Amino acid sequence: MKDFNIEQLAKKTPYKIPEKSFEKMQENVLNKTVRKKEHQPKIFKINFSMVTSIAAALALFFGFTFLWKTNQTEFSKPSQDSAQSITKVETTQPKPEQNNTQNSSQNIVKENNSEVAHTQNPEITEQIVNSKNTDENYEQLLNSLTQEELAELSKNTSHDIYLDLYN
Amino acid sequence: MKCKDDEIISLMLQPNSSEKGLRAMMDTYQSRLYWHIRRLIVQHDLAQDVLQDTFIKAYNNFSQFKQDSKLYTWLYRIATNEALQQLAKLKKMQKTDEDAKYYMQNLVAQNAEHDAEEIQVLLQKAIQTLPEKQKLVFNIRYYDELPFEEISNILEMSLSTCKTNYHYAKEKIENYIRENYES
Repeated sequence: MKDFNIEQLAKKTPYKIPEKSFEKMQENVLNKTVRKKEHQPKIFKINFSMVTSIAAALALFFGFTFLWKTNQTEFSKPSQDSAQSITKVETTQPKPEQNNTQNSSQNIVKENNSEVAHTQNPEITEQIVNSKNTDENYEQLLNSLTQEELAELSKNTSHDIYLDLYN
Repeated sequence: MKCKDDEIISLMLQPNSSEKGLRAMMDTYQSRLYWHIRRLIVQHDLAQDVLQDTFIKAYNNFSQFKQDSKLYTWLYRIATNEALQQLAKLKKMQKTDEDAKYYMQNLVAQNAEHDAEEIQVLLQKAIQTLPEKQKLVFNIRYYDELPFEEISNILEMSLSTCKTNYHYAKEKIENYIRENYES
C-alpha cells in the first residue's frame, strides 16, 4: 500500500439506493410545489392600509350614527313634556329642511286624525312648513289656534299632575 | 429523460410548463445531486430528504436564478447548503468535533453494502475525517469531476483555495488509507 494513488482507484461508492427512491422523491416534490399551488384555495390577503381604511370608515360611520342619534334624542326631549299632538308633529320633524317638514307635517296631520283633526287648516300647516326653528313652530302653531281648538287639544292631553300645579 | 439546461430554464420560466420543467430538472440532476448529498450525509433517508428540499427550494426560488451561471452550479450550491445544514444538526448532537468524526465514520460502516470493497469503505471513512471545505472540494472534484472553476463558483471560494483544499484532502486520504488498509 506504499504506492497507493487515489487517482488509480475505481470511483465507486459503497452505498446502494433503494428502488424507486427517485420516483417517491419526485412525487413528494411535485406535491409540495406544483400540486400544492393548484389545490391551494385563494386567500383574500388583507394588507395594513386596507385594515386601517376599513377601521377609519367604520369609526366614521359609528361616530356619525352616534351624533345623529344624540341630536335626535335632544330634539325629542322637550316633546315629552309638551302636548301629545305637538309631540307627534315634532318627532316627525327632526330636520328643519323645508321639504321634509312639509311632507312630514302633512303626513302627521293625516295619521293623527283624532288628535290633530282641527289642525287640518292649511294655514297652520303652512306656518309649520315655513318656520325653521321647531320651538318657534310650536309657538306659532299654538298662537294660530283658537281658544276652542286649544281647549279641545287640552282634552286630548294626558293628565299631568305637574302641569296641573300651574293651572 | 435528461434535458439541456436551456430547455429546462425556458420550461421553468413559463407558468404553464413549470411542472414539466421541474420534472425535467429532477430527471436530469437527481442522480448526481443525490450522490453528492449522500457522500456528505451518508444516510439514505436524510439524503433523500435533503434532495427533496433542494428541488423544492430550486422551484420556489427559480426567479432568483441568474442565468449567467450554469443551472447545475446553482443546484449544487443549494444542495450543498442544505446538506451542510443537515450535517450541522447531526454534529450538534455530538459533544466534540472528534466525536462527530467517529459518529460519521460509524455511519459509513453501517450504511456500506456488505459486499462493498474494503478500500471503498476506507475511502469514505477517510473523507469523513476531513474538514468541511476539504471534504466538499474533494467530493465534487473526485467524484463529479467538475473543473476547479466550477467548484469555486459552487462553493464561493477562490480558485487557489479550491486547488489547495483538494491537494491537502487527497494527501490526507491517501495517508489514512495507507495506515488503515489491512488486505
